[in-house]
Amino acid sequence: MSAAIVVAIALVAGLVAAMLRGTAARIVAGVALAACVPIALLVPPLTTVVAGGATFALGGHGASITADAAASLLLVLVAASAVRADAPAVPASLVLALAAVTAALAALNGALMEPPPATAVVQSAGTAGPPIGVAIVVAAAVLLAPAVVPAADAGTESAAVRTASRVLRTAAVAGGIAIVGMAWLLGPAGPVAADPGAVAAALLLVAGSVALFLGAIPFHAITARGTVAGPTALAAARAAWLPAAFAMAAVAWEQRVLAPVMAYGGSTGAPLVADARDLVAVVAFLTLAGGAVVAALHDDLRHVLAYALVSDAGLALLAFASSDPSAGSTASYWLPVNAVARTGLATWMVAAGAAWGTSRVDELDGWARRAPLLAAGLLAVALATFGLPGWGIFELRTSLPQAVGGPAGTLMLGAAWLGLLPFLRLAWVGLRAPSEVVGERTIAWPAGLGLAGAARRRPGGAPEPVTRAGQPAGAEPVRGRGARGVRAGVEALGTGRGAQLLATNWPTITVVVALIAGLLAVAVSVGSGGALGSMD
Amino acid sequence: MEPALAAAGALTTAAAAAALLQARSVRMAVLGMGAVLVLSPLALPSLPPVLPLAFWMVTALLAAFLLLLAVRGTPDLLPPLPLGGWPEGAFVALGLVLGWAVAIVVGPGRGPSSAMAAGVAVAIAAVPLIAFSRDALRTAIGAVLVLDSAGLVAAALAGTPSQLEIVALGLAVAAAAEGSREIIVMDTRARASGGPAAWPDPRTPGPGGSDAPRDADPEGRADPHPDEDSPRETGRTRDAVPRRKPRPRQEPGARRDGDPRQDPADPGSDLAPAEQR
Repeated sequence: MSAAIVVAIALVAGLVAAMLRGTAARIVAGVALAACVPIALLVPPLTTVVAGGATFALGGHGASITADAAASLLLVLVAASAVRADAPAVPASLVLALAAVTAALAALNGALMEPPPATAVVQSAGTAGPPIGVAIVVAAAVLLAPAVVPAADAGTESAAVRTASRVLRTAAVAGGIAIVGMAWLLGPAGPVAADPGAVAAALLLVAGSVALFLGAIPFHAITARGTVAGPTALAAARAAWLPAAFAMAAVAWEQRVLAPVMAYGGSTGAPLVADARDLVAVVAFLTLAGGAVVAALHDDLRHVLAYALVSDAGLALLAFASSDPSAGSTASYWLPVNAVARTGLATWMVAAGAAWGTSRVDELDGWARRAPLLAAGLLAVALATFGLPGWGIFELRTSLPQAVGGPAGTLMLGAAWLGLLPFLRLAWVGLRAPSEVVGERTIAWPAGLGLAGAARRRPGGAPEPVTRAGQPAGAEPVRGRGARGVRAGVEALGTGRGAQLLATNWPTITVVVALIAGLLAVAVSVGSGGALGSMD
Repeated sequence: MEPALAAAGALTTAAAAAALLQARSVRMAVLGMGAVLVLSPLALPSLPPVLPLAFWMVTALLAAFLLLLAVRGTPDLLPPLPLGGWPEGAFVALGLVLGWAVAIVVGPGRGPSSAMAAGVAVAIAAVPLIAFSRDALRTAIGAVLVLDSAGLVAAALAGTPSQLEIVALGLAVAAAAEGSREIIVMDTRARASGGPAAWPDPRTPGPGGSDAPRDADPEGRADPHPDEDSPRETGRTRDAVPRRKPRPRQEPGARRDGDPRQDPADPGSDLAPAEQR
């Protein structure tokens, strides 16, 4: 039950801290979140869950994904609050972000103690699940495409509108390709005996759709633009969680359809299939290395995030580049964990941007000297992304490239660790002499806690109510709570203000999207969970 | 359903797809898309159960309705397709034949060949809309058609889809229409506000119109970054925007006039890019 308890405590603590202010909030958040780590380490992982009278064996995977989704929710809330609150409130928000990432790390490492399921997953039934998952993810992606246009630009910024259109088009095309590819090896009665050519075609179709949706090279431009545009916290949910869910569905297809077809058809070692895997491996390597290097060189924080996500696409593609059946399992574990870590990175960037009012890396010289807690936050995010030897995330990031095998595997491993470069650059910039922008101002802790836009404190004055976030000055309000919110949404459908609704309510939408993505990921994992349980 | 009826269904679906490519009227194009969506299940040898079929029909009509809402109040004229429309329609007819040929190549033991024919035809109809069209509406229709054709081809390969698959695909189609509607509305607003539109206006000749290069601006200058968006998005602000002196640090809670990031109500500026200040 470790992951479930950690999630519950982290969520309750985060929400309570969001409502409280000052010392009380810090004490509640600190004590509750600190309790997560020992609980996660001491209590055995969740193995079964009873729902609707049926018992599902989760093998820790579903629970860890739930923990991921919950931790991401909290991080997004923290990011939202960091935007809304004044700069002095940022470090307190960072404490929560730090704690949430730590809790998620502990939970996931506890859940990942068991061995990878390997081929047992392949035996599980359910070939219809992956295309359904893809269709739902595509539905969410196309629905959120207009939200990449910031509210201030809606209706005036043509380039942003064009970017939104490209994002929508890309999601639809990737979804269409994936659905066709997933059906390629299926007949009305299930997987069909296919020749190597058909297997290679199906593999390339599905891997290509993953590359397109996740923004692997050469499809990186549209994805990066979509990530850069719009609120960063929303980008984290949209560009980290939706691709993760898409890739998980594709990986589930590989395990449930492709692997059995190859095993029974004897095409595992066929040259045509090997060539297809090599092609995927080349794309994966270029994406891994290229994305990491560009992320390290870029001067804009949002581009750093965007290309870090591009680099992740390369690692996801390795699940299709390897003939090792355990690669898919490894990827299905790694994807949601990585989505949490990237949400943490987005949260850190939002906080850093709010603290000094710039998104330029080259203007942030000395940031770590002025905000040690912000440095601790970046360290936590780096740990969540890469881990340490012996940690689950470290093993996943190491074993996924090595599954390719041979010298290519070593090359992939090196490329996978190039992802550290952006973190190293940020750290190096932070340790230099403070720039004019960072100045002499030290971001102290503890400071006011202005979470969720509840209130902010003027210097030496009484708490001042904050305008409800998400409504540009002078804009007609389209946001409401409860039925009012629902009504506003329904009205917006008919009046053309839906885009404004999406753009101005991005924190709520982000929460919903993360929740949907998490639920979808859980749904995908439940199918393989039965096999996990039977194997255990 | 008899194979002959399924073949007739494939023919009508492809005919609707070809017809929508000919449409110069906005509303006719949307109605053509709705017709393609509604007719698609007829290409299957056996219709899905009533409930998922009804769900699909509702989502198809909803998709058409949402796009009709989006184009409400806009001029009823679409720019011509790159080849003029008729060649694209001919390609759709070829796609129908190609689909049947593919079904034969794929072999027996798979789904209905009529679904493959209709799927390939609709996919070919979607190509010029997705890849070459220069307006938001056609791009939207293309996105919807891509999903529809994927469903048809998947049915041709793996048999009639399960109820949940139909529901999920219907959701994706409706979501694509809603997302597209938002984009079209924003584009319409951009035009109305006098700013550069996301796509050139087909009714305006010259720069910015249908005869202009895709990214030409209203003053006729060449776009310095034809494959990029705004400077804010590209991050090349140091090159594109003159550097300004960093502002002095303000007291917490103080608001800078004219600074959108400082407005707590502005959600689109959370990282406070330098050029916004």
